[in-house]
Amino acid sequence: MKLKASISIFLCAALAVFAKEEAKSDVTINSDELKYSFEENTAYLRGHVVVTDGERKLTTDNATVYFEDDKKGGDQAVEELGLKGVDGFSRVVAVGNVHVVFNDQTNTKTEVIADRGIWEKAQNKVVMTGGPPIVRNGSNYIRCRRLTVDLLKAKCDFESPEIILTPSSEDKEKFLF
Amino acid sequence: MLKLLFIVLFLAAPLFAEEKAPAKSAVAATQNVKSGNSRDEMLDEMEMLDGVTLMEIDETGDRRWVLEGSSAKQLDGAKVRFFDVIVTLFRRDGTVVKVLTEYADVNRETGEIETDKTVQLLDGDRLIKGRGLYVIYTKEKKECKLFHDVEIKAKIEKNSIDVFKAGK
Repeated sequence: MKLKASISIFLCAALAVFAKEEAKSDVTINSDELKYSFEENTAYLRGHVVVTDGERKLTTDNATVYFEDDKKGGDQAVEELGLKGVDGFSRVVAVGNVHVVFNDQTNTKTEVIADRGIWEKAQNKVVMTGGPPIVRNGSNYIRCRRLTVDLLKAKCDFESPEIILTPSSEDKEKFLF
Repeated sequence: MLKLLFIVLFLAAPLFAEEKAPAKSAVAATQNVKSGNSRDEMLDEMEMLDGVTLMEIDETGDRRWVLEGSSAKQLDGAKVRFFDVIVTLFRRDGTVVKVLTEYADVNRETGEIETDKTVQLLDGDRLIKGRGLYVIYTKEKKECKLFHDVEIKAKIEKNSIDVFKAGK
């Protein structure tokens, strides 16, 4: 039981690193196709969607990106080609084979896998559902019904978590001999 | 027939630089305007101009979009191909979107803009790149599609845009 708890804490710590890196900018999104609505300020991305934010990478089949309202205005923006200020995403909805990869503080690859992921800037939260969501760190993972990562508080909530421990081959040997 | 108001401005730099005989195509187009020929006839004869601006005005008299190109060429049917294109799309809130591409085909009847070339779309601080474009920017519908190799950057630097490198 103690071991389970420690693994859970370890994975949470890994996700906390994911959360703390939120301050990084320069987000790039790649996909096969795009439909861009000028009035709704929304981009619908289809096929091999990859969101890269520094060391973090999210891949998914399809995504809808809701941009923040751009109120920088007319002729001035024409002159400057709208290059002042900070503009970004207010909401990203990823649907189908959502896969987030990042490195934790021990430089171990951590993966979050789910069917659906929603990032809300206003709440600074990422909610992963469907699949069910799995957080994998090395050979151990947590499966849950719903995973909520609070990026501001660096806190994650697992709804109905199931912790699966797979000892490494070294650990197995230690255990056996 | 779509109720568009097309205004074609010939910004032939050589014509303004020196008062030499203007390019043949430009003369033909200018004469068409003076003789009151229809917009379509005028555009049909348009080819290899030194600077073209195409504009759509909305019901209130405001610009809906403006297309600037280095030259234009009549294609089959209602399509005109513009080269070295910068399209400016005007939103109701006063913001604008810029679309840059090597060439684009404009359907004079529907106002649709298409290209199979690489496209850069600037909207505020975001830069969207891709290959193959379809734009419809009418009263009812304002959207575009990119068909291949899409890339969105949330924050852009000035030197990342080819148009600045080209010194336009």
